[in-house]
Amino acid sequence: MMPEQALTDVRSDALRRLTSGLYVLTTCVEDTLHGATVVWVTQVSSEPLLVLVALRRNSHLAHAVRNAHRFALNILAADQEALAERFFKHLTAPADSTNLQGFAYRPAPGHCPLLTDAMAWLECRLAAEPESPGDHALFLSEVTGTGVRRQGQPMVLWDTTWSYGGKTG
Amino acid sequence: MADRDITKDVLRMFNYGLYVATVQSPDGPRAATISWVTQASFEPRLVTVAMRKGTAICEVARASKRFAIQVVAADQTDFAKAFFKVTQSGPDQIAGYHFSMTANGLPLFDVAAAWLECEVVEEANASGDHAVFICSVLGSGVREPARAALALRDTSWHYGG
Repeated sequence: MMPEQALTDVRSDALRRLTSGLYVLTTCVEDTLHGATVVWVTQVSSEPLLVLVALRRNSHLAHAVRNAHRFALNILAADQEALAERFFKHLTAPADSTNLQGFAYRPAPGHCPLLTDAMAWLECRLAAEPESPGDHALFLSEVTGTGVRRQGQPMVLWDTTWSYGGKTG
Repeated sequence: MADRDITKDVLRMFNYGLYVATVQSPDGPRAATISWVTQASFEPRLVTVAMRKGTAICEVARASKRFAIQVVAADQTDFAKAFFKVTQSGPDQIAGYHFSMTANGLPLFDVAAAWLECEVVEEANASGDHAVFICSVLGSGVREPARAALALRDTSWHYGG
């Protein structure tokens, strides 16, 4: 019926048409700070305010979020590709460090490290990890804190040279 | 609790596309424009799609376990706008946009540049005002590979839920 489907595996192409941003997820578990760039983030409720984040199921980052029960999303500006790229690898630092691998932060009310270079942030409390048969765990989370540092254009995945290969989580 | 006004500003910095969701209900085809869509797994391929609870599109998606999402292209703002509100439909059109039925029994608009046919495998978000459908991909296609998708940010609209 659709001749295009016979040519290539178009499923991945159609999935690449979904619009995503880039965010640095940070959290603090006991005496360790964590940060990594994430892509699959969406709001899912207005009342109450809930967001959903998908992280590779058995990643250190997913385990850190499960243990912390909270995390922050640091929103990057369009020109912060270098910052995003540094956090493609999950970075950690002792909680008594003054910076997270060279990036200044201040603690959020719930103790997640907020990158001071980011445009804005949300801090979230983990509300549920709904069942999913996928390779990424879903974290349904309530927004508990928020702040805007400056206005600007946020980073959009398809304006960059990257696509999400599922490994950054 | 977070300051709602600031929270709204921050949530507007998230990036979304625009999608026209279609379902086949016992009363005929229905369509609605949505934006809270994200991929959720590579293997198997899954997407999560949030729909406001109580809307016709949400209730039919829940009952039929199936819907299509059609990616609105950058030059198709009118296509998105046509389904902000409940629209009139006929056997082969909704709001004047012609569709045909896919092999999976879902209405697919002729103008769709790219689409996914979704099957609901789980529903989450019992406490929220939107249902979150976790969906496998039954089928998909791209008619015009070079065509960019419309970003919500580049329109004059916001979706506050």
